Amino acid sequence: MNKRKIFLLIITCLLALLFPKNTFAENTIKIYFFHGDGCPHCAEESKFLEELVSENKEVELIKYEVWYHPDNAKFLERVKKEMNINRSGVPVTIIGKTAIVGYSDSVGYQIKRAITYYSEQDYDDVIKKIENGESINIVDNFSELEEKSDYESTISVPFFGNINLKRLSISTSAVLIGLVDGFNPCAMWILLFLISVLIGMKNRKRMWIYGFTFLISSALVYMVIMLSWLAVSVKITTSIWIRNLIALIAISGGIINLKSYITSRKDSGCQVVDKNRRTKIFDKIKKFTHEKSFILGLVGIIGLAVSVNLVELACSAGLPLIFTQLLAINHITGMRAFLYTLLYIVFFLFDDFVVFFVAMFTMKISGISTRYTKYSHLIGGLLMLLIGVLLIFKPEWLMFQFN
Amino acid sequence: MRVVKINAIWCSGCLVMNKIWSKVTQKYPIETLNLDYDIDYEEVSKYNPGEVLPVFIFFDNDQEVYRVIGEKSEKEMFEIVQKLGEYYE
Repeated sequence: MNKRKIFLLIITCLLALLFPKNTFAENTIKIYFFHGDGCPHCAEESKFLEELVSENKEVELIKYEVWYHPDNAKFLERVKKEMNINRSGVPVTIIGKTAIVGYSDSVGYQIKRAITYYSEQDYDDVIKKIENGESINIVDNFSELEEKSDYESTISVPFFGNINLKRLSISTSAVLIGLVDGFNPCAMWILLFLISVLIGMKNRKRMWIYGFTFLISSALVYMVIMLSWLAVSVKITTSIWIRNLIALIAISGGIINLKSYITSRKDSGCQVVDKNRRTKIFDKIKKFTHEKSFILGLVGIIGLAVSVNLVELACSAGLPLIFTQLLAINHITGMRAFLYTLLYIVFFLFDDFVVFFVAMFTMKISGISTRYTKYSHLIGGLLMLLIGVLLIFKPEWLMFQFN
Repeated sequence: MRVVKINAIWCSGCLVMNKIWSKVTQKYPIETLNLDYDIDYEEVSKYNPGEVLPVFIFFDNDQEVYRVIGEKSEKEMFEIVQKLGEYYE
């Protein structure tokens, strides 16, 4: 088989992954919520469920008040008997074949995982069947899979031992993915050139301000793009099509990174960037840093950081996109999303800040070994492949537990 | 033996190799011609440097005898220079 045929075969396989395994994802998932008026945990869960439903069009909430409505109480007893629920008390939440008694933050995450799970596994409206007097099958339900996946999601990593992927927190992902993204050489060469020009300047104050402005502007551009994408992906996260599309980007990015690692495994070094682009950026840097007006120079540096980082986002082969998808799938929004993105960016810019500070204090430009870039390709590639495959086959594993 | 060293200011690996090369030349005094990939572009293109930097081209009596492409460790560079020295001198 020639190279072209192999390439077409890979593309066909990747496209096939885009197609959902079944059509249940487009169906409405019903959350049956049995509660008592005046029960504090019920009130807390009710608020949580209402927010959840308002964010997910594919989810419907059906409430049964059982303390003041004897018919509903009787129905709950029947449901408990049919589903072998031995625990007493309210709230009782039923999603598909999963029954949850009580409420806490961890239950909230369990509910979210159940929705993700049933959006692509064979969803069965058990309560409707009980109402209709049909026989039900509660074997192999989500709860059993949850317990089983706790064992299955443990992987053995050299030097780190056994790691349970489910417990790998978002902050660890932010640090790891941010760091791997940071060693991407796309922006480093521009920073090095900027520093070399800055060192040649006589004005030390300007050197610090221009360099710092470039790095902070880069951080802000990354932050704005990541948060904007998050705002979009939180709304579309329940769509299996979008999730599979992102998974495909992750898998493709993973393959690109691994290919870069394999080709640079023996000879690591700096890949020569397109001459025209290089000359253009060099001219801009020289123009801005030699600008007589401090403000005009500063504006130029900000503009350069914006344009460079927009290109760099594409160069990162989707790592920021994948991280925001992790936030979206875990329903992390608002201030927490901002803080996690900030953590990602701090580690993303870590190597750049090290190079900048060392150069500014020693007045000598030092490079970070391209060997780290090589390993960032390897780790980034494996990470992207893993996340891509999990997004398609085990998205619930990417829903981390925070309790 | 003499060496033509092709670097670029924007190349992180070149900066790392500059330090290593200065250690090597402290022990083995080798005549080194430093060329910048951008500034000395015309001269650099004569040596057909390829797409990866830095490049170290070793000459013996104006004849290219060895080429180091990309970043190498200090140990590797010392070994290369030592072997070439034994062979060509």
